[in-house]
Amino acid sequence: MLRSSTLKRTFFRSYIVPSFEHLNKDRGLSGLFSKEGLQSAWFDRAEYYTEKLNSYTANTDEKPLETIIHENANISSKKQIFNYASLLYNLKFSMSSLKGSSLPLPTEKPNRSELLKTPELTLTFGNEPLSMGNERLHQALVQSFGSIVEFRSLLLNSNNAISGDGYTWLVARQFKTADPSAIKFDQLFIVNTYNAGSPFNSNRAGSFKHLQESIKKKTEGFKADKVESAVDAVMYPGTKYFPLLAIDASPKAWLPDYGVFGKQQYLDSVWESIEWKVVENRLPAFETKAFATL
Amino acid sequence: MSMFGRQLFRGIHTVPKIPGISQLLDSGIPHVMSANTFKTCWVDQQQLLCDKLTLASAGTAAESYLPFHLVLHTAKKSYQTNIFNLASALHNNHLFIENILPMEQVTHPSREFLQKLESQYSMTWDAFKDEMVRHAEEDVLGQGWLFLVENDAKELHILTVQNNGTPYYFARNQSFDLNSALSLEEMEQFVTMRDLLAANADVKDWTMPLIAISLWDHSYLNDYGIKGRSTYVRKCLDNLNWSAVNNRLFSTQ
Amino acid sequence: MKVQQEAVNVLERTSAYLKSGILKKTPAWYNVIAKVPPTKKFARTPQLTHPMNGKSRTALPDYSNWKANSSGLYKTRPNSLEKKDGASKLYQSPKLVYIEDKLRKLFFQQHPWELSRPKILVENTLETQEYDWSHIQQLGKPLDGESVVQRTLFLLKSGEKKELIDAYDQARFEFYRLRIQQEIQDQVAQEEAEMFGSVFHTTSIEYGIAKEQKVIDTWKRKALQQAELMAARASSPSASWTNETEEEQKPIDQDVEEIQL
Repeated sequence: MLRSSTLKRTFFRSYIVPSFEHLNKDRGLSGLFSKEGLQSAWFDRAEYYTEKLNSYTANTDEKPLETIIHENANISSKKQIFNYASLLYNLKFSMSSLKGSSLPLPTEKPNRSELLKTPELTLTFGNEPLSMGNERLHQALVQSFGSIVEFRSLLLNSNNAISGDGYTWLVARQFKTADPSAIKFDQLFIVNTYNAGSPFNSNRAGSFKHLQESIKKKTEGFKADKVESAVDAVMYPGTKYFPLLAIDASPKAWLPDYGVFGKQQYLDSVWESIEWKVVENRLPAFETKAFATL
Repeated sequence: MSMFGRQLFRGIHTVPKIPGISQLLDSGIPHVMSANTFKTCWVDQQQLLCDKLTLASAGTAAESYLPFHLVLHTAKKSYQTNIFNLASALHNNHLFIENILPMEQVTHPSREFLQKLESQYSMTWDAFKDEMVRHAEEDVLGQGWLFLVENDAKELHILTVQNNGTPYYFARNQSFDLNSALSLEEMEQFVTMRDLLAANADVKDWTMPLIAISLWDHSYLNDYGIKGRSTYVRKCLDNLNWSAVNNRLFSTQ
Repeated sequence: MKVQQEAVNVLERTSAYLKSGILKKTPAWYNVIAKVPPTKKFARTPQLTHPMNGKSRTALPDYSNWKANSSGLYKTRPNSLEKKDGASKLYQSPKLVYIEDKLRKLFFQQHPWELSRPKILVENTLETQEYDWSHIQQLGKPLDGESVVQRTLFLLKSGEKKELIDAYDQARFEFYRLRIQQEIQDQVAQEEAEMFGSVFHTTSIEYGIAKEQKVIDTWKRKALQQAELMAARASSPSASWTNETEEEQKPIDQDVEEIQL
């Protein structure tokens, strides 16, 4: 799914446009995207990003997207490779957990009054991890966020607040233990990334510091910023984030079907369309004891 | 529509009137955007931003300012970024629509403008357009704006802006994308900017935008598709309303 | 004492002057006063019914259902004190009680920090009359405690909720959801701006501290001035009043400037 087949690779060293069984060019995704909407949200973008990625990686070894993202995150000369690999990865990730829903698509695009709409006060929703039989995920969410309602409002509000392109991620935090082979996860978090930003933070560790030091070498008397180096030191060593779920915030996903005023409605539909099974399968073994917060 | 009946109330932002709107809604902007896209890009998007700005600013000290003043007023206050974003987007979108509004007669770049381009870059306008299209393509990965600006030394510069940055204040240009790697030069610029501000918070920026092109999805996605953004930018630059742009250029006369 | 009628007869007198030609020009206020003439009734009349609910204010409590007190005695009629009190109350202006005020009090008791949000007090509009409270967000009005109060009343009037407390709770929770949304919006907007290369030279906390420091500095300067002045007065009471006015002129202007920021 990720790369071209081994057979093809012997002839072309290039990425092929990814595809998913549940996303069909002729059908759309029921309850979330119309045929045209899905074309813009997925097919066109997957094709475009792959094309771009191929044009920038011509004649290099074909590696998994994750590897490209990890290797190139700090290399400014390979910025475009990182950008398109990361965009493609993020897009694929967000699409992989959408199954569609039985709800009807909006027949009319929302108008101005959508902005003033009174929020629903419901405490339970049609598509919830527990009601879909994902007990383990439900437990983890409740443990990290308090309740499903809190999780939902944090997730959807975080995405709604993104003004440009980006993704909202549900991530699991990994921490180091005395035994290096045992990787443990203690808590789930919601993280936003913007444009081609990647949820894998570890590879960006110290990039700011690194660049500043290069400048320092060039110009005398420059003082490294204490706050940023402190943040680097506290934030990065030992903690890594592992993505479980991504939601696309780009207008490319919601503009064709939901219109300018429709982002909130799009997000409500996304919630109904999430395949919790996929998310649960990604959930690593969980350390149940409450871990000291950062 | 009754809930929006009180348009004249204080603190409510409204979509500015532009000439020939009914014609534009019928047939769009020739060679640049269809009628549908024009509605999305101007009527709907501007309305959305106006309403959001009204909701965010009503009843606060910000309520009586125009979007342009709000941009300057909130640019230095990190906690008012939401208001800044909305006001800046409103203002930029207005600049954009203004400089691609179709005119009855064909308009041309002024002699002054062409001379300036010639003396500063040794380039014709046609060659310079390629340069602008290239910058938009390379520098703005997601949403944003492409500007041609005139700085306080009356030099012309291409300025690319991510998301809702503003051309009027250098610390909020949002020209860098820190979500992927920065080059050493970009980092140097970034650090210089920060040091400058740390030394003197009131440092002034007198940059004025001459040409503004929207790189937001709502202004091209429908007509040109995802791969067509550069085609769209070129079309915009080919069909500029030069009477608006020439007016923005600094003139000693 | 003779009731003074001079002032309220202004209309009649002016009319007479105009008629006889003493006054040539009709005064600007003339038509207004003619439309709404001043009252000439100076006698206080008892308010027998309450203007808010139309209930009689003269009725004394009905004691027919009263239970016996600890010593087994029944109260059957009002005592003389109660009767006297009831009579004098008739001449007092009745208290106006609004349910809104109770809701406001409750809301701000429960959410004291809502009071710390800056509010513009421009009294050129009647705030709540023209809004449609079928939704809690209004264009042109910030989301605040008043929104909750008005939305509560709407829910009651429209019959969506039967009980006041249910209506209040619904409005309150709608308010919470929107506040959460606003707060996340503000945080994300800031993070996004920084990720796209915005540079702020102060954080919001630094900005707040700078503002606060300014007020403290002004206060300190004033306090020192006052202390000096008091010391001077204490040392030579007779000379202390002469120079004071000139000295104080300057700092007042500076203070006004600082506070306006």
